[in-house]
Amino acid sequence: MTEQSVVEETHVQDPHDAGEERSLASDAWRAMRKNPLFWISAVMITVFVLMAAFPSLFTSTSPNQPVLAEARSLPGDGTWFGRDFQGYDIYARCIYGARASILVGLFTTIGTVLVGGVIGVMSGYLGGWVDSLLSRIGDVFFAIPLLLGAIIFLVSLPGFFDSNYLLIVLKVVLALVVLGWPSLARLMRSSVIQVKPNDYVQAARALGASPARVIGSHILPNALAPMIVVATINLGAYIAAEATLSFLGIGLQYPAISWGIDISSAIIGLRTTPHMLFFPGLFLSLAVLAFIMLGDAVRDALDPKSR
Amino acid sequence: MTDTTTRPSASGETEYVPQDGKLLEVEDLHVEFHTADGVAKAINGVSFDLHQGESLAILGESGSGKSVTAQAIMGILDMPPAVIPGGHIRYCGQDLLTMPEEQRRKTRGPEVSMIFQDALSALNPVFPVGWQIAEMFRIHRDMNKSDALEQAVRLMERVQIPGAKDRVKAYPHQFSGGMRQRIMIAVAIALDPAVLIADEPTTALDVTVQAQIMSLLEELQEERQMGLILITHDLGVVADVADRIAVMYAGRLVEKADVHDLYASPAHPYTRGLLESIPRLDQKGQTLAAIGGLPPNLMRIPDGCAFNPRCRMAQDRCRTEVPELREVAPGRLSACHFAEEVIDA
Amino acid sequence: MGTYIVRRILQMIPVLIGSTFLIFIMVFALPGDPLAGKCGERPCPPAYAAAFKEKYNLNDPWYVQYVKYGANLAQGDFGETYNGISVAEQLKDRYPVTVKLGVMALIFEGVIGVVAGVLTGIRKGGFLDNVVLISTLVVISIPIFVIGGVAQYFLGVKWGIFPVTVTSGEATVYQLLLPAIVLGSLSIAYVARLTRTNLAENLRSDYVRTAISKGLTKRRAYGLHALRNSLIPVVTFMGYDFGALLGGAIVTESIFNIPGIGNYIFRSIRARDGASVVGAVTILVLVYLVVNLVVDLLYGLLDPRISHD
Repeated sequence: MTEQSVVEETHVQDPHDAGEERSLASDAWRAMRKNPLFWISAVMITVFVLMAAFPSLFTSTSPNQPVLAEARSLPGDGTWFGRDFQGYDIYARCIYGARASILVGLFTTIGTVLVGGVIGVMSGYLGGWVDSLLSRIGDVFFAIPLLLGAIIFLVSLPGFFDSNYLLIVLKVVLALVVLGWPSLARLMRSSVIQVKPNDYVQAARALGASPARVIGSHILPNALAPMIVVATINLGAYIAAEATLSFLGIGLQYPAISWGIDISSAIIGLRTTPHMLFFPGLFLSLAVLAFIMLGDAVRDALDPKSR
Repeated sequence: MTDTTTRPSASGETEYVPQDGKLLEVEDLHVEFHTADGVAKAINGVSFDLHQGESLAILGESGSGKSVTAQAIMGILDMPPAVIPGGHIRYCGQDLLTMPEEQRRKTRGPEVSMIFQDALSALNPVFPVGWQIAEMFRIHRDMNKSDALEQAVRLMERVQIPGAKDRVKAYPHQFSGGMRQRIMIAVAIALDPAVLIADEPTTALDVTVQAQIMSLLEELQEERQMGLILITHDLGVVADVADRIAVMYAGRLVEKADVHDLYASPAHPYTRGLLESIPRLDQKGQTLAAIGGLPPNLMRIPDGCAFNPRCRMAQDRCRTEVPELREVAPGRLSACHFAEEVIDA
Repeated sequence: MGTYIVRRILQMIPVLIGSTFLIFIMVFALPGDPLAGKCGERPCPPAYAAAFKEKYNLNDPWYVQYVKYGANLAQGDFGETYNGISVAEQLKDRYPVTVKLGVMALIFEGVIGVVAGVLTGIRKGGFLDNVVLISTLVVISIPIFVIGGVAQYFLGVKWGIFPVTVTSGEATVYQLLLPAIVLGSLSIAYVARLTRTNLAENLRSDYVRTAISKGLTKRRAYGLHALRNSLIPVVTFMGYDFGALLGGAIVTESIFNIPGIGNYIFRSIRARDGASVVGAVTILVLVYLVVNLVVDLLYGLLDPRISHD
């Protein structure tokens, strides 16, 4: 029977078949690069961010200089997009309106990610009574409809917040963060709970790594993906929420420039001057669209089977 | 068992009568998968017959094309990406591949039926098991709900599910793995098919349960004189049940033989490698012989004999000339240029 | 099952108390004097002011006010507005039209969303699929008040297909048709996408392959076996969405001038009328919590794998 005991050494695998070691991030980047939606949304977002940061790159007209004689003039009559009731240049107002939307969207997203992320990680990682308490607190905020809660919150803030532009933006951000964090906390909590039982996390804990280290280097990198997707899509939703609040006359207020305010005042004149509503509406929708598309592209890249 | 002796004829529909006992003839079957990365040739000219009451095992590693063969016979390949560029699959003399889809659909269940590897995902999670068995009678036999359910209970008893009557309304996740596979079998044999295809029916199960399921299949096959195609990668599973074994490699049949002949003296180096890699009690302490290397990428199948890069006996001829599947001894087929030497070794 | 429901209801109580408390302190912080303008141009006579403050517990610290309010609320007493009108009566007038609007929006969501999702999910990558994908993306991107304004202008004002505004508390189904589509538009798009994704995934599942190999028609294998599984997440989404629709109706109601609950809350906030705001929001929160419980129970019925034991 000795002839059967031929030893076969395991062959070295063909490097082309096995592939080099890839991280999730670089894999996702590779998939995303091929997605035209990603590039379209990236270009749109870049343009909007430039608009918000340097509006004078796009227009030399001031958004606050009315030409009353030309009020309600149509697109092409001396201005690209026409003028509104007060004689403001609609094109300039669309450009300058980007700042409020981008600032609110960005700060609200950062705020909800920080608050929701930290609370979600604590709930998921610590579990027990901490989890129960934090989850119930989250439920309390989650049960209040976002828009209604934001309206009440904004109205109840002291007048101090209306003193300058940044504070006005900040108060809208604050309202949206206070009511918006629980959804991200829930998401983060469930990701952490999913990741935590994995062997590599348990091994790190068994080897005596501190909780901060376990969370920072083992749990977070693996639980972050869904959060990134939802946060990107939410950024678009917060831009829409800001415009809605401004539309209702509660978010940003005159003389601040916001697409929502302009749409609100244009609705009365929809019959005769639809262009006043069309252009700010278009800018707003494109901004929301850009972030939703980016979120979709990120999700497709992170989770290839969803497509 | 009284209900097995007569085969109810499909009312007014096509009657299928085996010719010379031949149920199924697969002839020069080709299957390709057209993907973004290229064309994968999953099956490259496979031919075999299946007779009444015969059990044929198709043996091979994953990627050898054994499951694709089964799915092609059953007609459940996803097309696209799958394409069948050539070949015939005849059931009782009629080509399933050219048959109108509606006619072919009616063969699925009453004539040809299939069991899958993972019964948990193969059964619908939201319908009771009895309902899923009864569906066969309701669709193919126009039976009413309560009669069909009665038949389902009878079948569950037949596949030895304890307390069948009480469990007919239970859902798949409420059963153990072995019991679930029994339900899968009950669905498959419900209409008393002539051909039963079992695709890795025991791979997902514990060893003790594996044996029970295999003996149930064997029993049912003998009782109903079905033609059984057993798809597996496990030589141990095959030995007791199969009459003949067909070994597949890279989408081709490389050896076909009676089960005893094949075990006693394989006629292809690949088969020999497979047999040598089974752990044996009488060789304790010795290193297990594994087949070196990996199965080929189906988009780049090597020239000549597909097995040549892994074959210890490979010569220059093997790298250029594709070996035909030929009779190398009475009743034995092998696709190796040096089959005679392999048998004698 | 029974203990599950009891446990869930017990969990609801602190959430309800917490939410009303949150709303209460925000409303308490509302700037402005409730007595302003009560007595014409002049300040109110001290006797009237004292009686007014006594009646509405305005002399108590805010936490005492909350406890008193909460105790009344627990007995079903929603209190009175500063004009002395019963809040409960007003809510009774306002809620039906909002609920009707929400239910209609939900029906549109279920019918249009699911049909669009099925048509696209079955033929992923086809022409229709791309049309629906792009149009849902457009609907999701355009904020509801723009959709509402434009729809009102074209369908109501310009072409006169639908009434422009509603105004009556006893609105007919026809009057609410356009507002309901507008209110549901975002959710219709989400339902379509959710149905599409789930159906496309389930079509590739093992049990659909089994259904085909059982000799079922494609229609039955897809339309019964795959769809039944695909609709589980859709139905739960729609359930949770109902609460959001009621809460989000505020924009639609303000565009179409519907005298519903959103409109009521909005006006009450402007009028600094705390009792009305807290009462109305409390009911919204309660509806939201109850609907969530019902959806979770429904989930258990739809998906036998979920157990509430």
